[in-house]
Amino acid sequence: MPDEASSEPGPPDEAERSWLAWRVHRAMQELPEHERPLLELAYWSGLSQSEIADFLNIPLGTVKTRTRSALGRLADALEELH
Amino acid sequence: MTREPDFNEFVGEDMPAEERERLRRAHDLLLAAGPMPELPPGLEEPSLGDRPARLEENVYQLLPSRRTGAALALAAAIALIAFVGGYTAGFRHDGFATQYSVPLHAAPGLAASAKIQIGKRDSHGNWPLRVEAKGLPKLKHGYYEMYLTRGKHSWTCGTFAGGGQSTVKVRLTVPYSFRNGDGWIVTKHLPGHATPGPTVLTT
Repeated sequence: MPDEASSEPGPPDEAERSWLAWRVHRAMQELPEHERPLLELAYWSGLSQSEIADFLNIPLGTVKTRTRSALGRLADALEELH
Repeated sequence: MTREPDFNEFVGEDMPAEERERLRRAHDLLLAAGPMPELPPGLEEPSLGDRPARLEENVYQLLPSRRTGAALALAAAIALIAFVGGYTAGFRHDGFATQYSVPLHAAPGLAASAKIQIGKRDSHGNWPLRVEAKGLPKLKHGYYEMYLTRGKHSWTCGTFAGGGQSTVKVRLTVPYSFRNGDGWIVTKHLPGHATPGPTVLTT
């Protein structure tokens, strides 16, 4: 049977993913305290924008503004990964 | 499974295409990175004092109860990733809890490689590192030194000797945050030189 390349990620891929995660998490820690929880709730807790507004007791518009701002800061911090 | 974050909901439709693409990339990186690793409480290193709880820890503890199922699914997914990929939150028999593993690559002309495992910061603010390097030339004199770098700035993480046929395994500890770093290097440090020598490994 001919050898076939596995589609599973190999050790280099895993290492690269771990490195990327490290960079993203460090960049997250650089975000202002009033912005970081919004991304954590949205991306890692699965809350919608309106649920975040309800949870944090802040207006929905503020959630949208801060989320945009946080994504922008994150994009700046991770520019070299683009 | 938790819902997929809706990028369009976050940024709306009234945004220039270029800026939208930039934010989209950050969105994709967040999804690829996944949540920050947190060790199960039973595996936490002993604390010598009460430290202020981090904001994100508070956030997760305060999640609405209707999210419990989703949180359990997320925990299961993280456990699966850790099992399959050896990714994060590894807890080895020697008590070193790996949170991240960072590969180092050899400088041109060298057939060396290494990885840095970053453990969990202790209550005093010390970060344990474990370095495994193979293929480094054995130095008759001098030693190797590892630095955290950002641009032209660098902060030492410690020194070690070794090289040759065997794999070098050392533990280092640094007291500062990694948040300002963007990579690591290992350099030769030769006797009689006040400044580091050439870089042999880099991220």
